Amino acid sequence: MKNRTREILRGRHIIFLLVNMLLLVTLISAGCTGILGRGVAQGWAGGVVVDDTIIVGSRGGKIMALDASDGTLQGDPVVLTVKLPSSVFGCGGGGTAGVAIYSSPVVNEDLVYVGGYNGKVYAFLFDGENLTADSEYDFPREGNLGGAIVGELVINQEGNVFFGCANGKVYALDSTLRSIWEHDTGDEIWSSPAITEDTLFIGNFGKKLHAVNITDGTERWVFETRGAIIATPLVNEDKVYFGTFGRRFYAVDIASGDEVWRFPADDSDENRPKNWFWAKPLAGNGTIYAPNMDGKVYALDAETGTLINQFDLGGSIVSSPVLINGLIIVATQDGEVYSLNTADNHQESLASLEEKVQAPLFASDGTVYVHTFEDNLYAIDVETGSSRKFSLDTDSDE
Amino acid sequence: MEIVGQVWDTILLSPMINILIVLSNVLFDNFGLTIIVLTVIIRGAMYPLTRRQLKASKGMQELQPKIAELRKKYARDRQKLAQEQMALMKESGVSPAGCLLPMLIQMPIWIALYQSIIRVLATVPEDFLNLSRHLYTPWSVVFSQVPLESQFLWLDLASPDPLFLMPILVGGTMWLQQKMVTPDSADPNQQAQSRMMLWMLPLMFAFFTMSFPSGLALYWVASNIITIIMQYYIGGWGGLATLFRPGPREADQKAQKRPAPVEKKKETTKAVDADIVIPRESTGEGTDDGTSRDKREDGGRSYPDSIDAIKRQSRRSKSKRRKRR
Repeated sequence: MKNRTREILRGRHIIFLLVNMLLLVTLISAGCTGILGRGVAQGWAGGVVVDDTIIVGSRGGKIMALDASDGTLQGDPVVLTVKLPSSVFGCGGGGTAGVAIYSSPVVNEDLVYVGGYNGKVYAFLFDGENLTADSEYDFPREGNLGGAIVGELVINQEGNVFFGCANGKVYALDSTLRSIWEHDTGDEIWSSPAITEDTLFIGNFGKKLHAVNITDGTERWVFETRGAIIATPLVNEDKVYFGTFGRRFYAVDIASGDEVWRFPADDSDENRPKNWFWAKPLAGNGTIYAPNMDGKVYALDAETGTLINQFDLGGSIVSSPVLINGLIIVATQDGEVYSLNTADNHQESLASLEEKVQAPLFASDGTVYVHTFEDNLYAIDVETGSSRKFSLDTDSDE
Repeated sequence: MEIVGQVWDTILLSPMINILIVLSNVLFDNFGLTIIVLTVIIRGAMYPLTRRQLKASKGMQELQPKIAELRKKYARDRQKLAQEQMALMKESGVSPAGCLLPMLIQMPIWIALYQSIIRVLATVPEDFLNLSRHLYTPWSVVFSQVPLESQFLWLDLASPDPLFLMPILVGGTMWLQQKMVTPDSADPNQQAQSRMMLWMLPLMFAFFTMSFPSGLALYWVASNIITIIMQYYIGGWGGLATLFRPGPREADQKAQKRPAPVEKKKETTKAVDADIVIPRESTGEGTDDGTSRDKREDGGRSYPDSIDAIKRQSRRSKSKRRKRR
């Protein structure tokens, strides 16, 4: 028997078998770790500033409250966890993991709302300093929506919460996260909604922008484009503006759903953006600022769509910019932060963080906050460009 | 290392990703069909290489009995064995490099296709950002086509098959493909290895498919079926031909399993793992039951008796022959 085993082990075939097994193990480990290109949702949430407290969603499913003056943690962070499905190879299978958060926390009175990539909306009690989880507020109360929440949550004046889900539906919830209505758009939604008093606008993977009655969830109109819509639309006066994966930027009449203009007007335009529109556009001084993943911010006339200027920032823009004191603050994916003056379209470098930036920026009192992929939060003074760095990685401190 | 990655991306991965997306647009946004068609195109383009590889493999297989003989002959002289093997291969115009080289050339293309399918089936936001780096700016359609429609038949190509049919198909087609090229060896060691090869890889791939995106499983199934067709045209059914009709070896095994009368068993020709072949007596019954062929083929495993027994047998045979005369 021993001899026979030895003989088998000597065989050339065993080498071939071992090589194949090695290849397979590599494929599996690569499949698990994302080496071969299949990524794992990690999240890139922004935050909100309430009085002197910053509430931000960190990577690893933590919602934390920080003192805005020095970045110290106020109370314990709330940790959102999800049970991992058991997998054949244990690619993260079994056990629990932090929920990936792409949706920035939003605040209404004493409640903080967050959407999780696990298809659940959470509400936390906020007493001005500490956050407290209360599963009574979860939506849905049991299980999940069957699709990820990637876009932002939006709150209207009545305190109702609106959001889109990757299951293709738009949801309207009351302030205690009980369903008011839901509307099926028929295709996956990663976009955030934009709202007016009576209408909600949201784009989906099906290349359509849907206008929905905010009171009852009935459809007002649908505008079809040539690319998926992930970027949050911008409502400005009587138009809704949005960019698409088709490398086009549109202005649509809010009331009728008719196209007002598109940029570029035709495919042969030499100024045609070279990549997707992912980040939210902003408006200032009659100009629409549309960031693109080709590293440029396109400044377009709000009425005609004429290209006024293009700011070449040199790096892909995924993070949604903010408007502070007439300045558009925008960050590239490679951590360069710029200010664009809406008065004279002057571009200025504000900070160089040398960390990856994908989370939407947020601002308060002349300070812009940048949450980086490395889980640091930078507070940058817009006037002086000076910055403070707060670490959100509480695990490393333990 | 980064340069290698960039070269890989520029030469193989990015072209493959863009072609996949454009093809998906042409094929009615059906990504399942796109995977099948691109696999057919790529395997078709590499047919000359595959043909060379399969022919070389077949040549190597055909040489196996002769190589086995050489191994036996020069069991104690490894150097001589190597020389003789080389001479034999040279004489037959077959070289191991003929099998390996075409396979090595094709491997990067298969891996790139595999990677591109994974990347195009982006599911999380991070995947999309990564994918956008590979898209060709002048090709408008590749930007507007993403995200691709991932529904195909009962499958969501970005997720594992919930019905577990794809693992069965992957394992099944891989088994058929392996069976076709598994040499019909008489050497029990070789047989054991072949059996292990025949079952191990298909089972492993089937197992892995349970948690891989079904788009990849579809690629494996398509690729396996194409390989089976190519193998059929180049070398016939191979090992599959003996699947439903018993070949000589199966007949041997059946015959060995057949219970023999006790007295006849005594007379059964015995052999050891040596070049001694003692003919069976012509008793009329069971002379051509398959056991009377060259006993060396099975390495003597079924004939474990001692040399003394053989000598006794030989003496008995001789005396009987003398009496007859």
